[in-house]
Amino acid sequence: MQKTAIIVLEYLEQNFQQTLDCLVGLDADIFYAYRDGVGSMSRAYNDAYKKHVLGMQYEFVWFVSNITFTKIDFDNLVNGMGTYGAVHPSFNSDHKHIQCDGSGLVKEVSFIEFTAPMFRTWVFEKYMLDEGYWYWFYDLIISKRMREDGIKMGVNHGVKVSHVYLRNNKKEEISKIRETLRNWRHKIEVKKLEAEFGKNWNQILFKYEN
Amino acid sequence: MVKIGIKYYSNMKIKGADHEINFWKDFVKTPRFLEGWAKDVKTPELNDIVYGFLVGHPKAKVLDCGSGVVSILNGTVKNENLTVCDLLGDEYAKIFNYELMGCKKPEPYGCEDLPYDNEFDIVHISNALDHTQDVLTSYNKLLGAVKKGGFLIIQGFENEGLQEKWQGFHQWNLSITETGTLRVEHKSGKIDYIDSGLFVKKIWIEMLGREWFIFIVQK
Repeated sequence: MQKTAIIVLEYLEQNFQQTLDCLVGLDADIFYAYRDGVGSMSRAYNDAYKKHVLGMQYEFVWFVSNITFTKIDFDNLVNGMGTYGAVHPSFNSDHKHIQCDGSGLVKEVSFIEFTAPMFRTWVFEKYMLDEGYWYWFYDLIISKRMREDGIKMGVNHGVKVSHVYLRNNKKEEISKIRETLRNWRHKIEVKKLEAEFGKNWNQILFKYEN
Repeated sequence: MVKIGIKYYSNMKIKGADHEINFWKDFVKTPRFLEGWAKDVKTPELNDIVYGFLVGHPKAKVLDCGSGVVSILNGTVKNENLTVCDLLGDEYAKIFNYELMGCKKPEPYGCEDLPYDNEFDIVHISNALDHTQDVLTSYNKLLGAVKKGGFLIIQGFENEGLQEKWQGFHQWNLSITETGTLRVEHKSGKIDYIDSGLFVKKIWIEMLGREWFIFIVQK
């Protein structure tokens, strides 16, 4: 058994082959998370984790979505885990603190996204993902819980993954269906956030953005 | 139309109607059915692609054909926009209280004798086209029920006839070819192809270890 398990979220777009190509030759056991190509990410990741990783002896689990990277990126991400509970590689995120700053360092942050986070398995198991949130927000919620328990999160600026091929290419029908579902869920989940965290949920979840 | 339905039911009784009714008799009592199918929530078994497609057409008038006791679209399509039919609809009314549960009772039509012409924005059939007496006739009837510009959604397991050893309703194999065409094979060996449509995908059902296809045609 390897030290690290990788859970890859399956996409049905043709360009997903680019991600699959990156997985060849990695020093890790690879498993897949299924959601019909469009459904809930949180449920898919939790299900795959429970099926393949829970109860095993893996030290780390890396959640991989539609990204590209190199073997060196993967190795550096594992080696940069240090005392962190979870570390995200830098990428062209909407959040500035996850964008690469060129320092090459692992820096502590107040929340991470779920584009490609690596977790210590015991940390992920302690919280799992909130399946009430399908595409967004569950990353902020698990970050909040970790933060409150004093578990460190970081961004590794020595690793930069790419997250552009589905964003920049002509949309396949499957991408359009996923976008429809995302928009549909967004309305439902914002109401759920308001009920759970209050009207100022946005400030609470993003409060500590670096 | 009911009479035609009865005619087909008489034929099918030999070929597996009892098996189908017996399955539902047990299933309607299970928590999985009562919580997942009969309640006004998305049915867990409805795949997310079709779910996403339907929520993208919130005002669409939808027909679900071959629905079983309760449509898998219950909880996704509003009752006022949903029409449901199944050849065994009248039989299902003997084993399930539609009024009490607030679910649509299926009209007792088989695919071959659908009375609808250019009426629905979306016609849907899940895991049932290959249960019909004649798949090509059924396909044309289903497409006939779709308005111009509307959609026909067909989904199900590939090669169910072979999988079920041609027992009961399972007299046909449906599958998706590499070029995205729907391949229709009868137990007798006769093969037909239906042209590819707007959207064709296969998805992996991990729990069952089998592939499921989704085939969407725009009229």
